Amino acid sequence: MGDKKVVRVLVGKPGLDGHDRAAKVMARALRDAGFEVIYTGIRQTPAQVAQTAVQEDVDVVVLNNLTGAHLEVFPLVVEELKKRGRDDIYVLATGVIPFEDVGPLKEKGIDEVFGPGTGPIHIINWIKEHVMGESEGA
Amino acid sequence: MSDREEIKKVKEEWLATDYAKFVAKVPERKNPFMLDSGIEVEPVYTPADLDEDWDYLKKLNFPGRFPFTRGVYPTMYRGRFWTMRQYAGFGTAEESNKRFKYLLEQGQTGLSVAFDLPTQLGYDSDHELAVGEVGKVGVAIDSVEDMHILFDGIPLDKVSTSMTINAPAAILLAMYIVVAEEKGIDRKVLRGTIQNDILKEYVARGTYIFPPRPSMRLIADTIMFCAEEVPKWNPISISGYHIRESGSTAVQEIAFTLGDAIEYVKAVIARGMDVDKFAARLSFFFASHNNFFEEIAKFRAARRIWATIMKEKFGAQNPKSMMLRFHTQTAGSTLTAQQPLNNIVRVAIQALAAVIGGTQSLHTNSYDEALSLPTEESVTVALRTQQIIAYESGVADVIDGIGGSYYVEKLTDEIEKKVWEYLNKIEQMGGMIPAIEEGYIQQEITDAAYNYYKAVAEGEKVVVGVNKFVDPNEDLTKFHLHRADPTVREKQIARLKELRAKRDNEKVKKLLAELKEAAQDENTNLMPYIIEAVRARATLGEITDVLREVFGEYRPPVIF
Amino acid sequence: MKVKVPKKKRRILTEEEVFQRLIAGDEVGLARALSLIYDENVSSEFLSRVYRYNQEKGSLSKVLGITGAGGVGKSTLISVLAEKLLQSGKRVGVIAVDPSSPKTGGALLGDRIRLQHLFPNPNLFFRSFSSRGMVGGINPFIFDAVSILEAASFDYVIVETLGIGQDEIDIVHMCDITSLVIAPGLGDDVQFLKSGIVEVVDLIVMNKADLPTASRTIGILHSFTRMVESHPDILKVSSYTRMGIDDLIEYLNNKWEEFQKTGELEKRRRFRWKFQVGNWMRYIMGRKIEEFVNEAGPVLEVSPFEIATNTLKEWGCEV
Repeated sequence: MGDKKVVRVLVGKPGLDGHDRAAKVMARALRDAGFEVIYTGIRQTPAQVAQTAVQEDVDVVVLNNLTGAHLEVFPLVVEELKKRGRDDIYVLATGVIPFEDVGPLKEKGIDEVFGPGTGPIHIINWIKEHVMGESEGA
Repeated sequence: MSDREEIKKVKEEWLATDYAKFVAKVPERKNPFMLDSGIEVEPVYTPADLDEDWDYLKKLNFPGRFPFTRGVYPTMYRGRFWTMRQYAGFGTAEESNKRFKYLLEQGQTGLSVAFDLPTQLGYDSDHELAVGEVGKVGVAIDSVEDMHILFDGIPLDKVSTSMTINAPAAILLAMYIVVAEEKGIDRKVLRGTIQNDILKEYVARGTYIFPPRPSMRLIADTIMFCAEEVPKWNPISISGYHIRESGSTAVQEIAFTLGDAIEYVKAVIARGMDVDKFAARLSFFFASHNNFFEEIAKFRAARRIWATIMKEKFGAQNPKSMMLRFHTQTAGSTLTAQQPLNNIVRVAIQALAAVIGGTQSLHTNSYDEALSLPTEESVTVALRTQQIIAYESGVADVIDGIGGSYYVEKLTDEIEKKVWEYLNKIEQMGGMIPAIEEGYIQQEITDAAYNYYKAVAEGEKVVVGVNKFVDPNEDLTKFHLHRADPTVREKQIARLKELRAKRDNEKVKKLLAELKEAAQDENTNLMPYIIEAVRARATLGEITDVLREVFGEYRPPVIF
Repeated sequence: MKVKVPKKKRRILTEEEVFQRLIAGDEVGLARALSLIYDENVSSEFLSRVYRYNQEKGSLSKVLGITGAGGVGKSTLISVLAEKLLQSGKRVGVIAVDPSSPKTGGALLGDRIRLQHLFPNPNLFFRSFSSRGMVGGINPFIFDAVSILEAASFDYVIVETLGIGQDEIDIVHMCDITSLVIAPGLGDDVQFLKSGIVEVVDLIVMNKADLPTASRTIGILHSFTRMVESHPDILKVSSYTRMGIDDLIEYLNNKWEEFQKTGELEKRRRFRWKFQVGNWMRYIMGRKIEEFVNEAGPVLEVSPFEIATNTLKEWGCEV
């Protein structure tokens, strides 16, 4: 029954940041790379992002923020995922994130950070390396 | 004088012989050379490339005269340079106040205020969605008390204040007026601007609250109120900057901005105000991007188109109503994190285009803009960029020095044509609001953004330091982020508690109820009601919540 | 300071665990069950358990299909319906199907943006599907997805698909009641008349009925439905003003109960089961056929018909 596994990715914008060019370009690029992409739209609470990730059973959540709220808000998404029993979903951080925040974010459960100077291709390659090639049973 | 036909013939001959010979030996780098706007760039331009009926007095005329292609004032920078107005934002009202006082001491006469996201979205600092956002991208303002602190010791009758605020702009303006009045300053002398441009929020910036129609009503309220009560105030800054930054082309930037402007003018006229009573105070805000000639042509085309729209579509009589006055910011999205010093050059070129394009005021980005809020050093370099252009380059000593260039005149005409195509299409759709509700504008922008991304990803568009001339050993870890004070939220929450305890809560309730009732009648101007609520110390969130109840919240269409 | 991040692996749940969590109404279990449909390693026993469970438990979900062309406002209508149903204490599950790129196999699924504002909510479930895996216009996965949602005991299961082409008529067989949503002024108000789907839906919902152009489209609609044997009802709504939404919900509830009483519901569900058997057979054979066609070298001097019948004979299918 069924098909070769297709990677499902959630692109989420938690917080009040309304600049969605990067998130939309990311979503399209991920789609062009062959992934199924669910985009939440802007202005999501961490709980909304997490419940979406659970319901859509995604492999990766890609969070984007350009206004400096990442340190407070991204870890809340990780917490919400844990609360719902899906801390096995990868969480990636993108946006205007300085290098000194990478460590603290990873300590709080973010799996990788893609700050200024990176683009969709880096996320695509990361997903191909870390998510694909993992074939699962139920 | 060689005649048109002769020049055309020689050009064709030249292309077929000298030019073709060279191309055979050394092929051109691109084929064809295209501007993002979809206009092809030929090797060289001649008088014969302009339209047959191209007429100097009709197309250009003189600075300060319809259609204002060459500039809106007769003397332009020969009299006074453009305003060098750098945008800045700090977390608490106290910190911003300190920075304002410093700038005023340095001789700046204009202030520019950035607000944090909760404020821009009508949330008080104690709202659930404000977590992690209070005081981050600008100052947190929850009530008129915060406004008092922000402008403490600042002579509001002597400075001009620009506030980048949109959805709740009416409320922030009300606060500014109340602060001035409580300091004994008459509202009639207040000078400044509120951005107050909701239509671009829906398609580019994302800080909207209410749906389009009630938002337009609020904007009309502020424009009409200012025309009568605060006559020196610019009640709107119709913006293309954010539209461009979200990925649109130069043509779309102008087309969608002017499309928005048409809606605003229509809205006020529909409320019964004569166009010449308010149109002179409409101002604009554009980006200045990389392609030097395209940007200059864009500004010139914008002036000509707007003048034509005001004269022919709206029947304006006063020349001031037809002048497109604008502020420019160099394009932040073109700046790179890699090799940041390169950005100084990019900003310089973009600033030069804006100046030659005749901007009224200019903000130049700092070179580390891609990485964080700028440092004092980088902000100074950005300011010096403007000063060197002003004092050393000579471009400010002549008006529209590039006018008459066959290429630039041709480009100005081409851009104008393409903008009109968009405007006509939008008019067929019923105006900008249906175009936005149907997602047409957003789709155009997002397609342009994706094309740009693909062109860079495929290397077809070169970004120096990013996909060409890359430094493989570059250490990108060296940058830092301006740290917003994480305690701002607590401070604001404490302040809110105090405010609610001290004020006359019965009065606030009564005034909010009156506002709610007034909001339900489309023809009632809400400004007086908002001012009263603000004066009684109602908070930004409380006032916005009343309006949210009546107007509803906007849900965007799903466009990729 | 380098922080070592342990490599995550998707937590393994056995089919048993997934099944138990699914029927217990656990969201993770439900989401996993929906993914299992696509998993090439899952046993056919899993789905049979689901079907058996649904038969035994007796209570049914109201399965409502919402179809229509792009731009008519299906997603907004569903968000408004869901909001009202949730307010009255009901549990709602939504499936939305969007096309995937034939070139890359990827898909951009944005239908849930319309009701994101209703989350977080334990009584609302939304799952986005691409048309991935469809072979020859058949998509058996979505049918089984509906059964899985029913096993999680939602009061309402809403299926949203793009109503274009022959394939989309499938939705009629997937659901208890199917509505076609149209909207005025899209320039193609006559298009839906040609598609054939009008003749098989139960209900036509005219969205954006508050627009001035609506009356013209209603006029065309009425004259058409008079010609159609099934005489679908026409309801006018506006997702923007909420006009007609309560009536629509009442209509759907009443219709469903009527079907239940008259035995129409049972008839449709039996047909759905049979249709789905056919779907799976077509799908499985379709893939086998596709594989064969891709690999087989053309034998241009022989008729394709001969090759086809011979190959099928080899596969044990007498034709």
